[in-house]
Amino acid sequence: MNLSIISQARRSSFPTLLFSLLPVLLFGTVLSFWEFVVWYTDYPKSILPRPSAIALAIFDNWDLLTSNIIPTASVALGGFLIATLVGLTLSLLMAYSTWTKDALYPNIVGFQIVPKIAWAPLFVLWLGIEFQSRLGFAVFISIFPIIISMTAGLKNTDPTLIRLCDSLTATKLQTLFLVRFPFALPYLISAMKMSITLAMIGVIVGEFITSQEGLGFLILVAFGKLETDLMLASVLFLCAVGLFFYSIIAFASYRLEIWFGNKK
Amino acid sequence: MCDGLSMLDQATSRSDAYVHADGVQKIFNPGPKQTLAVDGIDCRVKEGEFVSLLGPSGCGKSTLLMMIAGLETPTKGGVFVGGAPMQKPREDIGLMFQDSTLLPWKSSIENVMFPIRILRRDRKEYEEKAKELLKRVGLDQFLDKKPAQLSGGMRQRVAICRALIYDPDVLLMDEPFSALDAITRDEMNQVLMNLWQDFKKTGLFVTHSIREAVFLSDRVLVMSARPGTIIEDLEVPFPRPRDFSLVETPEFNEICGYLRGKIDAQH
Amino acid sequence: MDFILNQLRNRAELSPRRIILPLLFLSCVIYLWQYAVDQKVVPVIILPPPMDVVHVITQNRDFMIGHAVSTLYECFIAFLCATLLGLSVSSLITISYIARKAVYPNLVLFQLIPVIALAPLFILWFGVGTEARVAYGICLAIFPIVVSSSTGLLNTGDTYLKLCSSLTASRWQTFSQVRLPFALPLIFTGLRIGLTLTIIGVVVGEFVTAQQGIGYLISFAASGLETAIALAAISFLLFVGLILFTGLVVVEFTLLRMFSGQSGQ
Ligand SMILES: Nc1ncnc2c1ncn2[C@@H]1O[C@H](COP(=O)(O)OP(=O)(O)O)[C@@H](O)[C@H]1O
Ligand SMILES: [Mg+2]
Repeated sequence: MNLSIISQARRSSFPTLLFSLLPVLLFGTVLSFWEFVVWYTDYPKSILPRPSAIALAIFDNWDLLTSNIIPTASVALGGFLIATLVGLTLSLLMAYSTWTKDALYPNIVGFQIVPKIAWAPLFVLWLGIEFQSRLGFAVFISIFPIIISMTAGLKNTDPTLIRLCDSLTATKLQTLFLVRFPFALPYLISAMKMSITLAMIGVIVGEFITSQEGLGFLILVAFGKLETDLMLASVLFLCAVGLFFYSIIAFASYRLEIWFGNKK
Repeated sequence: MCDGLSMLDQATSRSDAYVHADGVQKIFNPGPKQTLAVDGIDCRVKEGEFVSLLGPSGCGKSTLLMMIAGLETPTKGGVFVGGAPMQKPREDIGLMFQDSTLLPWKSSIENVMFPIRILRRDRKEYEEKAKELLKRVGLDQFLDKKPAQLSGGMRQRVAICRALIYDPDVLLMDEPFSALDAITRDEMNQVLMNLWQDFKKTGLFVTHSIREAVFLSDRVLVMSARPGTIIEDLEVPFPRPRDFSLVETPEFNEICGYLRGKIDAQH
Repeated sequence: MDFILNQLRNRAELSPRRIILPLLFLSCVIYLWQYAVDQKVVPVIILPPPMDVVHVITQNRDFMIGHAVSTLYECFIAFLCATLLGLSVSSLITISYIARKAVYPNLVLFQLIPVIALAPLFILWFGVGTEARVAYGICLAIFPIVVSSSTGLLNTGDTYLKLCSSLTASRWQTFSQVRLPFALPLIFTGLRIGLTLTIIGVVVGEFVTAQQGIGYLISFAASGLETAIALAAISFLLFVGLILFTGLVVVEFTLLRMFSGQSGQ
């Protein structure tokens, strides 16, 4: 342990330091280049605002932006949580009963071949233009990865381990909850990563269509007024929301690794 | 040195078998593309006896073991353990596989306690015993370590403890040490030998290693290629407890040579 | 899609029960749907009877096919561009050390941007025509393609790379003979995600630009409470998706068979 740290420290001479700074350098260069070119050519702000203009827009519209975080984030989170719970329950049920699985699973998989985004306008028709339709759509769009991935995970348990459980006269339910489910947890986590992203997509598209509230709606409003700087500022806020959710799941994934004894 | 035929006669005349596979046959996927895995196997193990099963890969050793464990049903014949027919898995049988099949999120001690949880027995009663067992196999420093932090040999030691904790009468082992390196394997043979001295279970042990089979067993059975039948049944006369110096003796090597001849004669 | 591939691979697993049971379940759902509409449990506007949808499809077939072809065409172009661009970027990342160190971390960062939210920006830049939707589709699809394929290209087994350098293989030889074939499965995983996102991009683009295509048809029908038309349009989109995915799977099977000697099934 100590040895590897020492050798690492020795190796981090000047070139390695430079390489670790490269991404930051590239990012900074692109940003300055963008700033400079737009400033130099006096490009119309409504088509491509300068990075500094976006920063300014964030500053100017701070209250407007922050007040629109809650509607977007809460519906996305709610949709994601419902999808996770329902999806998990369904896949556990299908893992427990082969009859249920044989009846349901091919239909679920067949159904999800249709690009799910296409259903968005129908959810508005069904559930109205308030948050219910966005929530419903977010659940709908983000539930499939959970079901598909968990079903695969629950099926992929080491068959020898199942034999061991059988030889210990374990009940089906014991094997499912004490062995198969914990083994499928990594699948759940990776499905959740996909699922939260999709829930965000669902809410944003829902906000585009329903035009009521939220950061997606703010993007639309800014677009209507050709305030592209505010539009990009809203996108940055969406990034922050997404990053926040994503890092929670990444943390859960890290804890899981520790639980599995792969990291200490 | 040994007359195989008379040995075989001796074996079949035994009626006090604790584990008895009576003329079992197993066909997988019955139909045009069926696999006849084992055919007409008659295998008896006395109470407290340790028997090894030697045979080429794919000859049906695992299949036989799984039938004895009640995890597969024979297409013909029957399996009796302790006088009662095996129809489904029972608490009085323990299993070990080539892979340790430990649960990666549980520490050694929790892994050993896993059967207790499945069988819904009283935890407190067995906790001391679990520690005792792990100490016996030299893992008292590793009670709280997870499988990822243990070596392959240590994991198999935990797996042995897990198979012994709920006190089954019969222990079925399917190449438990095959994935280990040669030195660790010898170590594990000694560990198993010592445990056997204390616990006196009935054991059936599948292996590819002639040396391992002879060292551990009271009797060695040799199986033919698929469909597997038993072609040799040999008593190993060395007194117990044995230790590894036995392996160097000419008598030991003579038995090994004889068995090798039997196996090679099939090709 | 993977499920269907697996089903094709393990044809032995297909027992009669596994075919009859799902069909039975599906018929029950359709029957319940029809029953609910007949008994006026749900209004026709919310859920038109299945026969209405079939009726709409047969009556407006040519009209719908026109929109479907537009969607198909735009998806195809966008996916093709995203694939070419994405694979070039990941090849560059693989071959050049400096490019890898500079670009790769930023890529991971870029993936976090909800590109879907940039839809209006594409109208600003490209107008409301095909260009806007194609560009939007490319933008959505390219990140998973780049990330997945460069992960595949970079994680070639260490011993294979050592073998290559001991044989004094050139960088290009190592790339084309070893890295690329080994990365194929991951590249195609990325391409499948990319295709899904391309379709999402084009359809959302059609929602927003409201000019042509299945997405336009759906949102137009839904806002006019023409649920049957919307559902019919969705079934056409299913065909568009199937055509695109089938094409991709055929390419994948062919390449895998060529490179690994293992048949695609
Ligand atoms: N579940 C199964 N389905 C079909 N064939 C099987 C199954 N299990 C084992 N077999 C076949 O039975 C034969 C014996 O297998 P096995 O008992 O595992 O052999 P061994 O343990 O001696 O190597 C092999 O040919 C194997 O392919
Ligand atoms: Mg075997």
